Formats: sequence, C-alpha cells, structure tokens
Amino acid sequence: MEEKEFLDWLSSFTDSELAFNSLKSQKDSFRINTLKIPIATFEEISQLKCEPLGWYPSARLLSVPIQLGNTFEYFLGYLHPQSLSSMVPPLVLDPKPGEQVLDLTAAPGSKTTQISSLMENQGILVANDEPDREIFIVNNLSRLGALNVIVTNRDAKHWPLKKEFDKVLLDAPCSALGSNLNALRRFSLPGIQKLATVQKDMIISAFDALKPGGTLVYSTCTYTKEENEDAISYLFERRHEAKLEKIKIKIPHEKGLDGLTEAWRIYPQTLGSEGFFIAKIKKVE
Amino acid sequence: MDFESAEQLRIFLTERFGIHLPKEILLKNTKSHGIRVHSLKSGSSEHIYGLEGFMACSKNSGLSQYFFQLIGHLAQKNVIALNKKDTIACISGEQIKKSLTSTPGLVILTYKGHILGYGVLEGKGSIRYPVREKQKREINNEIAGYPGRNL
Repeated sequence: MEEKEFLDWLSSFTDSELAFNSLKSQKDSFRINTLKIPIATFEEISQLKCEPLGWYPSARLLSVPIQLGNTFEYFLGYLHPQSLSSMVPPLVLDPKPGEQVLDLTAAPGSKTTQISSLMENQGILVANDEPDREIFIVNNLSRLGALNVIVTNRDAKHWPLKKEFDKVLLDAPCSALGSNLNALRRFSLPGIQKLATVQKDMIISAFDALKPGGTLVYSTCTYTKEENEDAISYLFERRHEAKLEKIKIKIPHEKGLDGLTEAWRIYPQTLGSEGFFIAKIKKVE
Repeated sequence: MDFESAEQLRIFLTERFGIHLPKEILLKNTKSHGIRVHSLKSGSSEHIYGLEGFMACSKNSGLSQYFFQLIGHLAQKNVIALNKKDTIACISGEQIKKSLTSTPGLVILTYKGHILGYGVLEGKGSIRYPVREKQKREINNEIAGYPGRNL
C-alpha cells in the first residue's frame, strides 16, 4: 500500500495526516525499572534529559535524544526503552503482588518486565512466546532483575491450562500499522484476514486461561477493525461470560468502534507515541 | 568458574564476598538450566508451568553478570571500585590493570557505587570482566554516584 492510499484509509478512523506525522516525529521514551532502582534514586543519579508524564510515575520522555542502549542506566538495568503507548496495556491489566498472571505473547518482554515490576517480583508471571523469540525475553528478564517470571513456549492459540490465571495479557501479533511506518508496505487485505483468524483463536485461548472473575487485556499496535473490535466481538459471541469493562485509569484516548465504547483507541497524536488498541474484559463469575 | 550446586555457590558468595542472600532471593539447582535465581515471594518453588527466575550460573555460560548486578551491593569484601576509564574499558570487554588490593579470584566491580558485575582478578593485578559479545557496551554518558553506597 502506498502512503497516500494508507492515509485515505486511515482517515476513516482519525485525522490521518496528524497521526502519520505524530508517529514520524515521536520522541524516544523509557520506563524506569523499579525492580532495580527506586524512582527517586533514579532521578538523583541519572543525568538523562527527560520529562516525567503524569499518568505513570515510571514513564519518561527523552527531551534530548541519546542512544539509550549505550547508557549506564541501560547497562545497569535501571531503565528499559519502551514506547509510551506500549506501557498502557500493563497499567490497564493492573497486576498485583501475589497474583498469577499470564503474558501469552510476551516477546521481547517489555510489557512482561513492566508487569513483573508492577507485581514487585511477587506472585507468578508466565511469559509465553514462540521458541525462537524466547532469547529476547530471557535477556530482558535477567538485565532487569525480574525474578518471578517463568518462560514457556506453548502455542498461544491453544494454551493448555484453563481457569488458572487472575489476569491475562494478550498483546496479539498484528499488522503493526500503528507502530511501524514500514508496515503499510506489507499491508494487504488477505494478510489482515489471516492475522485476524490467528487473533480470534488467541483471544479465546487467553480468555479460557482466566479464572472466573479474572481480567483479560487484549491489545494490538494497529488500527484495523478486523484485528481489534472484531476480535472482541468474536469473543463475546462465543464466551457469554466475557464482559467489556470500563478502563478506569486516566490517559488520553479515543473510543473503540462498533459500539465498543469502553475499548480504547490510542492514535499517535494522542500520546505522541505509537497507535494502540486496548480492551479490558472481565470473566464474570 | 564452575559450581556444582546452589549450596556451593551460596557458600562461595559468603566466604569470598561476605554476601548473605536475603531470604526472598533463592538459588535453585536444575537439571539442564544451571543454577537459577528466583524470588521466594513468587510462591511455591515448584511450578507446573516451568522454571522461574533466570540463570545465575551454568556450565556453558559461567556466572551471570546480571546475577551479580542484583546481589553485588551486599558484598563486604573483595570489591574493587573503578574509575570511568576502567569501567568503560571493562564493559567493552578489555582487560584492565589495577594494583592488587584483593587476593586473586573473583571480585565485585563497582563504579560510583553502581554494581557493574564481577571481574576475574589475576595474579599481577589484571582484571577481566567476562561478558558475552552481545552484552558489550559502548557507554556514551555519565551517571552520578549511588546515594549511600560506599562500595
């Protein structure tokens, strides 16, 4: 798909030029890793030029660009480079110390380590992904000092353990149109349909892993309805105990489409970061 | 350096560095994944899902620098503070030279109180910082001292 064609298509959802330009000009951001350093101590020792964001105390936006991977803070595991939008799904999931949590498609482990940090290394966090992606998760877990994580390599479409988890994050593999400017070159309707089929299998698998009363957060970094609202509707058709829940944290967003107004669409201009879709689903008892 | 068991590693940490691991940090032997470090607060140490935590030591990879970054601040002895030049050289995989202040063997390396990991101090004062190719870094900034740490 050409850029103009993409912008025309995107304009049915949002101000496409603004979205596209915001994505192109987004600043780098990172998360302070509270598993290794308290936020106040980080502020004392770090000389990185960055600004805090009101909605998440660990989030920082770089004011002066620097290669974060070559900083002392990265080497020591005090920070993790992560887009602002991708910090939102773990906050919506709201994991607590002592809970059993599943991150069904976890690589490279940015959200996994954020969840571990929100759990304060207490409880069990299972980080699942394909075997060839495990190495990325393991490297991040060790550098960031996440001690409560178990890495598994199951097929996310057929997660074997049912009714086991208090919370499940499914950050589904997607067309990445919200995060990757190169992705639109790969964009095709058959490609989207294929991904949507996988996502539908995964959302059922993720939901079935939840204990009654548990919470599933479904997210993608793309805009297509097939990969977002349609996946949620598919779940609702097949699992009547699934209910869309209001997301209570206060972060700028737009409403989901097709009447799914409690779901969130985050466009690049909303947070100055990647485009994301996030839905919080409760398994009612 | 090879350790046969978690207990052997624990004893070594105490004898060499005076490190007593906090109760919430556990070391565990595994059949094929070396000695792993994990959190007691994660609940039972036996899980149906798999192995928790990460590898502290294995026969193939040796000791993990990240494990030492996690526990190094507990060391009472055999700690060597480096200046910025030596720190950057170490991290990028170069061998450095120091006057001997510790007995040869493993040492904890620090920079301004931050734990870099462990080094191998050899007879004539040369220090190696074992680091895998992918973990080598070219540091491009400065950091202030870790408050309250005089390591």
